[in-house]
Amino acid sequence: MKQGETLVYHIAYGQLSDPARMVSEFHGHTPQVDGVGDLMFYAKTGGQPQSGSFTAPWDGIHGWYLKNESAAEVTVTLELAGFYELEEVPDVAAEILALRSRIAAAAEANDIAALDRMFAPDFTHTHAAGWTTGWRGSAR
Amino acid sequence: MARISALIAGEITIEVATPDEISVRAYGPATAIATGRSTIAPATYRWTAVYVRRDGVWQVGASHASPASR
Repeated sequence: MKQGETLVYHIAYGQLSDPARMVSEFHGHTPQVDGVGDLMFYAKTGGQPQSGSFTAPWDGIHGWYLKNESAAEVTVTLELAGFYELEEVPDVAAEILALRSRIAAAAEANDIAALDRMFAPDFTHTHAAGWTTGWRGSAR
Repeated sequence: MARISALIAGEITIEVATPDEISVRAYGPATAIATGRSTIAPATYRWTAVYVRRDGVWQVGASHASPASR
């Protein structure tokens, strides 16, 4: 959102057996420059539905951090109207699981070039016995 | 044995072993840490792997494994 743009919102979490185990933080941050940026929290709530209007205090990314600390599935419904652009947030967990599958496939196919792309050149693995080995280097 | 040699030799390492537990946490757009538990017979390990995204591509940066307690 750009500074001064406004939206109205409604966020709900369905029927929760324990709303306190749902973490919801409405916050915004400026784009980071060299890892540094401004962050502001607008509301920290549990699983209680929330509605309101929001005006962006500055250009940046504004939205909700959500964490379900219960064992039950939660369906979050977010309705927005106003001035905003949606930013796609990558699913890092899915990307890492996919990487693990690609590593296994490349190893099975003896595809050294593919494996080289999926491990950092300075990769190290520390074994249970305490010694360390590198990607191409020997143990120490 | 270098890690690439182990993988090419068909050794099951924690980077490819099927986990019966796994948790992935992202720290910004280019760093992720996975912790998991995998059995590489006859032992079961708890492991940690650090992933970094370089030029838009995820790579394994480091890993560590320890025997899992019962």
